[in-house]
This record gives sequence, structure tokens and C-alpha cells, in this order.
Amino acid sequence: MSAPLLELSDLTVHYPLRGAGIFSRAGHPVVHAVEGVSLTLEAGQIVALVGESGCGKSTVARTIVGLQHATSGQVIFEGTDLTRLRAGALRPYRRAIQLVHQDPYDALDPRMTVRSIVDEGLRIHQVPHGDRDAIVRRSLERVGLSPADSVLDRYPHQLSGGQRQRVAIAAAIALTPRLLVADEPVSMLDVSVRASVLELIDDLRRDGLAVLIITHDLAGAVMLADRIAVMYFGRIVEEGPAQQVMDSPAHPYTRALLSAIPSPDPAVRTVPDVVPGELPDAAHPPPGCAFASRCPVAEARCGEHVPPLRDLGSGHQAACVLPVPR
Amino acid sequence: MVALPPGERAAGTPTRRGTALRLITGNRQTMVGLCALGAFAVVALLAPVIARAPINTQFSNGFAAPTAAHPLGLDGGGFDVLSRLVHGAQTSLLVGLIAALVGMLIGGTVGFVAGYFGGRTDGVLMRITDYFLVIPDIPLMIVAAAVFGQSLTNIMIVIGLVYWASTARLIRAQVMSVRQRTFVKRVEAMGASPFFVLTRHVVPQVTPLLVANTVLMVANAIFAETYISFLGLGDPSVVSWGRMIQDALDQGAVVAGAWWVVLPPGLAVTLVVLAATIAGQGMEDTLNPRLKVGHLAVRRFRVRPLHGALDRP
Amino acid sequence: MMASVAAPLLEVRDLGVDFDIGRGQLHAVRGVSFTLHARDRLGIVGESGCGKSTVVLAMMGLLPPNAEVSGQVLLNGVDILAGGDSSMRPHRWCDISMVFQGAMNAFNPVRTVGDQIAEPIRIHLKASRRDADKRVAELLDMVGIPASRAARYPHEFSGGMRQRAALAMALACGPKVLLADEPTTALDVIVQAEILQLLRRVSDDLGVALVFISHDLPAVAQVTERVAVMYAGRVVEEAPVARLLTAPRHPYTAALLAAIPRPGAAATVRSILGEPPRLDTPVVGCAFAPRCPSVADICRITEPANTFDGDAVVACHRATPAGLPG
Repeated sequence: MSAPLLELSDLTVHYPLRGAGIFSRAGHPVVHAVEGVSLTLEAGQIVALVGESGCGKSTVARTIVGLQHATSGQVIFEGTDLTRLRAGALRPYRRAIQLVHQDPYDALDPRMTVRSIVDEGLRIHQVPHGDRDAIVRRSLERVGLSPADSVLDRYPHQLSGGQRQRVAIAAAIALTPRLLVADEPVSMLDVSVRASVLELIDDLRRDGLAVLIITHDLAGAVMLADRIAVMYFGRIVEEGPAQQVMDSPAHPYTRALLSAIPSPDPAVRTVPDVVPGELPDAAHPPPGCAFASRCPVAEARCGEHVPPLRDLGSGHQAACVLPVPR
Repeated sequence: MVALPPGERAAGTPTRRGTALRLITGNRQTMVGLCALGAFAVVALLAPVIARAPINTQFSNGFAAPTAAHPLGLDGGGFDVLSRLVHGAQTSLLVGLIAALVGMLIGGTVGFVAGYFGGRTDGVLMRITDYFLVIPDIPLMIVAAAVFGQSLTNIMIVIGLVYWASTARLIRAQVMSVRQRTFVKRVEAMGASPFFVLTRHVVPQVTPLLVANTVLMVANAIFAETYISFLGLGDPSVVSWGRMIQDALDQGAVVAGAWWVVLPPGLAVTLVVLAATIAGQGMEDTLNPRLKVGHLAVRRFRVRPLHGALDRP
Repeated sequence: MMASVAAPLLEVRDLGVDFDIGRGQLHAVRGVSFTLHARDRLGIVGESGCGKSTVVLAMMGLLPPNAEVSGQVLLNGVDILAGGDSSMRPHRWCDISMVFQGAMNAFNPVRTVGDQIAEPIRIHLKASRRDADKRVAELLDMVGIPASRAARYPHEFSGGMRQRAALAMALACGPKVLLADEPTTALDVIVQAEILQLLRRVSDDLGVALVFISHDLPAVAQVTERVAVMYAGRVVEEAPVARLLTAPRHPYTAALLAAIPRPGAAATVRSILGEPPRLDTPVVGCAFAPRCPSVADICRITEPANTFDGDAVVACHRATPAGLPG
């Protein structure tokens, strides 16, 4: 088996609660945003990182693309640990890994035309001038904005949300990246537009691209992803082939998420399978399983140690000490 | 795909040229202010033409009421008031403009650097800025005049040094806010250097605000020059409005009832400062509708009662 | 059809809203009508820009000065819009109240939550401090917030809890009609399910008539009995929820349903191509015609009138009593 394209090894990100001024004292509370996350991604694969807000999934995304420093652990891309590299050496990886942001309404500089926006990355990476126009056009057509001439000279405010997101994706793929990290790419788009943007992302796989998609929408993730990793409170609590995680969720949190998705059948009243409660304080993580306070089947021993990921066979793992039901 | 007709551009397109135009013409307030300033500038430029009477020639021994030959009369020293007023315009406007530019350059640079790089750089620069914010301006100017001498250049520099701090704070805040915008982060993630991001994304977003702020600073600077001269700290070799007001009081114009000596310079300062303030605030309104100063802005919407015009069965 | 024992509680007749935008008019809402009896629950569904928020803001008299409102809003037979703000104000909050979009972010950060919930009670009901505090405790209990949290500040609450507090604030003066504008958007799916449960319970226990605005059709289906679908400022279909979801008659409703990802369903999810029309030009023919899969020539020329069929309404030339056009 060839080496994976991306490997996160025990990735941990802590950051101080209050920004450090000139006179910062040691002992400030620290937010445990990401704790010991390990994940692999192969070329041409789509992996969905699913979780609710505050679980750390966006932090993982930002760490992979270099917008955030890892506290410990490794981000190994094509065999090289990116966390060990200095800013200068990181540059080629800033081309090979591209990030698509959540907010298409703010992701494009309102003062620039679509042409300049898509061209900008090429300019940063010093692609020869003569080739740039063709690449820009090709990228726009690839994302479905065809003919390219119809949008090249438009400004972002003249485009709809879906079109803006496509422009952002075009700007990303213009650099022929090998990994695309999509952070909630459709959550701010209308429902009727989401499917087509997700289809586009799925289609980009044909070009050999690997995609890590961050989302809170479990149902949408299943349609697109090969593998799903569920995060809670900074850790991965379940991981496996997408359909399997959906059909036989092994972790109570995954079951809770599935049970909470509103059923379009009004005869079925959606009742989330969870004990009402709050997330633990991110600055003071509990000693045991972080989900215990809301888990409908939690036992005393759940509060003792953080459960490790247990292998359930066929690439499916879950971090729960309790036996899987059924 | 529903496409706009080719070549169609929605109103308010934010081209580089477009924003500059919008800044100037977007608001009636701004237009009024800038026109007034422009008028004063024209008068100042045409000073030698308008004011025929030489400013340093004594025409009499004391106050003389306005006549055809001297439309604003003569002051206590026998000098033609109109001539001095018009030449004084040159001084005041020049000082105002250059001092504001000095302030803008220092404040803008400090603001950009502190806002963009953050961290310790920001901390250090902001402490320095705080000191300058806190220094009382008049004592500083008095000291500067005493130590460095009373020249026009020194006045301009001193005024700029006193007023740059508030600009720095404003620009820093705006830069920090722009830096958090998604499109800036996106480009940073792509590997753009700080210089690239600053010049191509941050500066264009922040510059209009800097321009608006500079116009407001012109108002402050002109007023500052006026009272520096009024206090007798101004350049003795040039005529300025502040100096004229000082002279008027020294010469006992108020007691003598010589309104033509006191009123013109005072009115002139008031009008110019007002014009610059209106223009600057109008620009700020254009840039940020939330700052709208309701009583000065012209309302574009009509307020209608909620009830509709027709009662349908 | 509801067993209407009495006259309707709330009747919206031919509501229209135009905005004066300097260079013309924006026709945001056109001819919206619906009726509510006590305990009724109506959902209004549509995508961004369809006018659903504008409808409820118009009902509360909270539109900006450049809005022109036409039509009637009859509360117990009295048109509360006829007479401007002064005729509206006595009813606001005491008879008809609202949970705003993004209400959870609209709390005053420097006042306690308890104080803010008490404010409408003290203003509208002229209650003393003691009585107001008692009522606040009742309200918090009703929405599932521990009474001890009343003395806390908004930043100490999670998003879900702030939304509950916003609901408590809306119910403070015992209104008969509650308008909820996107109450679960931006909430995690588990919290969303809890809030939907809460809305159902509140409506049942207090007998409050509910209007639930959302772009999320399954979430709306969980709470309401009837749903109105809006497009480009008009209601294009209104029907009992079960019928709307299983046998939609308007092509837009059907397309909206087809765009919803469902966990476990292998069916493909489809986007709707194109975008909603600009509202600053008068609509010629049916607003959905450019995107409609069943479009006919008449659709481009004449705007469809409302067709009544039992307890349902649909505005489509091509709809047949049996369901979608062939």
C-alpha cells in the first residue's frame, strides 16, 4: 500500500485563552482545541471530518494549511512533516494544499475582478505570465462557470453565493493542488445550490485531487465522502467507511447526531438521543470521556480515562468503552 | 446559468477609480465642504491678483473703516485688512494641508505596521502612540516654539506630531479588522508575503478611511495654526489669520469698535474649519453608513405611515 | 382543515412590501395571505431573498422607513397596521411577538440575561421588580434554563441556551401569536432538535399560535402543521405539511424537496439551476419560469393566480389536482 497523501499523527493544538501582550504571565488558561487527532487521507479520496461547532474541526483544517501552529504532533504531507518546516520551506506546500472557506460572501476581495482573484495565486507562485490567462479560463470552466468570459470581468457583488464559492474553488484549483481542504463549503449557501457545489467537489476527484471536507452536516457528508471521522471536543470519537458509520454508528455521539437530524416525515418526531447538557469547559477538559455528561448510556467508568479508539474491524474505529449495541 | 447581460455593471461597482469618485460625490455634505474648501484655495492662490494693496504698506496711522479703495478697511497698524486676509489664507491653508499630511504619513505608517504585524510590534507602537495622545498640545507647541524657534516649518511639524496619534489608532483598528477578513486569510494561506497582502489587499481597503481622516485633520491643523499664531508663537514674518486676530486684540480693535479687523479673520477660520469638517465627516459617512450623522445628512428615503394607500376588500 | 370554532386569531390579507431603494423599488413581498387560529402552527419556507423575514417584520411593524407596506394584518379582527406605529405598539409583544433571526447574538453584553428578559415585562406589563423576577423564573423554567442562570451574562451562555433565553423574552408578556424567524439556523443539529422540541411544547402548553420561518424544510416539518412555500416574494404553495412533503404541487416545492440530503437514502440529491430573479424589476409571468422543469409558454406571459383546492393553495399554471404536472 502506497504511503498516504496526508497523515495527521497525534495532532494537538492548544492556544492561550487571553492573547499575550507584552507582559504575559505563565499559567494562563489554555484551550484544548484539538487533542491527539490521527487521520490519513489517500490521493483521490474524500474524507469528511464531521462535528458540531467548537469541536476543533476548523482548527484541524487551519493547522493543515499552515494558518495555525500545532502544539505537538505531526502533519505529514507526501512524507514530509510540515510542522517542522520553517516559513520559507513551507511555500511549495502552500500551493499543493489549498483551503476553501466557509463564507463565500467574504472570501473574495470585493475590489477585484474574478479574473484577478483567480490569477492571484498564480502570481504569488510566479507562474509564467504567458500561461496564466489560459489557466484562469480553464479553472473557471472546470468549476462550471462557463463560458469563462461571462464572469471574468465581474465583481463579487455581481455574483450569487454559489457562483462566488465556485470562483473561490477555481482560484484554489488553478494552482493544481494535490489536497483540497474544504471548510464547511456549502453551509452558507441556499439548500437548492448546495448539491451542485458538492457535486463539483466530488467531480474534482477525477483530477486526482484528495479532499478533506469539514462539515457539521452528517447527511451531506455521507453523500460525498468515502470515509467519515466524527469529532467531539477536540478528539476523533469515531472513524470509518462513510456508509458503515451511517448504518452502524458505534459511538453514542454519532448515534445522537444521527437521531437529531430532522426527519422530513412529519409523522416521525425527531427526538435527539442525548441527555440535555452542555459541552465541558474547553479550558478544563474532564479526565474521562468528554461526552459522558450528555451520553444516554454513560457509566461510572466513562469518567475515569479518555477512551482510546477501538478497532471494530473493516477500518471502523470508535472511542467508547461500551460494547456496540445490536 | 443566469448571466448578467455582457458589459452590465451593477451600480456602485467598487473599482479603484469608482471608490475615489464615490468618496467625493457620494454625499452632498462632502461636495459642499469640498467646494467651499476649493473656493478658499482658489482665493488663496489668487491672492496677489485679488488683493492689490501690498500687505506691508501703512496707509494710515490707525483704524479706518471700509472704503472702496480698502473694502475691509485698515487695521490698527494701517495695513489693508483685505490684503492681509487673502494672504493669510495662503498661510493657513498651506499649514493646514502640510501638517495634516505629516500627521497622516506618521499616523498611517504606524497604524499599518502596528495593525498588520500585531504582537509585540503592536504593543510597543501603541504605547508610543498613547504617549502622544496624552501630551497636551498647547504646552508642547509652546515648548517647541521656544526651543526650535518660531518658523512656519516648525509649526507644521509640531502640529503633525501632535495629531498623528489618533490617526494611528484609527488606521490600526481598520487594518486589524481587514486582516481578519476571509479573503485576506485565503491569500495568506496561499503563501502570499506580508508585503503582498498589505499592498494589494489591506491598503486599498484602508486608504479611503485614511483620506477621510486626513481631511478632518486639515480642519484640526488649521485651527491649531490659528491659535498658535494667536498665542504669539507663530512665524512673525508671515501673515496668518491667527496673527490677525492677535493683532486685532493687541491693537484694541474691539474697544475701538473696529469690527472689520476682528470679524473677517475669525469668520474665515470658522468657515474653512467648518468646510473641512463637513467634507471629512461626509466622507466617513459614505464609507461607513453606521456612522451617519443624522442631522447633517440629507435623507434619501421618505418616511411613510405603515398603512397602505389602498384598502382592499 | 382546522376545526375553526371561533373567528381566526390572526389574518394576513394581501400583504405587500415595497422598498424604496433610491434608484427604484424593490418588490420584496407580494400578495401574501394566511390565517391562524389559536394553537395553529404555520411554517413559512423559502430561500434567501424570498421575502419570508420581510413578511414577519411587516407584521410586527419593524421595517425600515423606506418600506411601504400594503394589505392588512388583522389581529382578532382589528387591523394593527392601519394607523402606523401608534396603533401597532400596544399589540407588540403583548399580543404578537417575535424571536428574531440571530436573536441569540442580539443580547446586550453588559446586562444580565434575567434583566433583559424582565425588561419587556416591566415596560409592557408595568410590573414591579419582584413580580417581574418571578415571571422571569417561570419563563426560564418553561424554556429549560436553570433559574440560577438568570443572573449571568450572555457570554456565559451557549448558543442554544441563548436561543432559549430569546424565546423566553418573546413569551414574556404572554402573546397569543409568536413569530420565530430562523430560530434554529446556526445551531448545531442536536441543539436544533432540542429547540424544535421546545417550540412544540411551548405551543401546546401555552396555546400560542406559531409562525415558523426557515429555509430548512425538514425542521419546519417537525414543528408545524401547515407550510407555506415562498419564492420571489409570493406564496407559491401552501398545504398541510404531510401533503406538501409527499405530494407537492408546485415545481419549486418539489425541487426544494429534491435538494435535501437524507441520511440513508441512496437517491441522488439535485440542485436547482439558476438563481432567483432580481426583485427590483416587475415580474413578467411566473417568477420561477426561468428555472422550472415544467415550464410552458403561458408561464412566461401571465403570472399564475392562486388556485384553491380544499385546504391548500398553489400558484402554478401547470399544477393539476393530482399532483405535479406530467
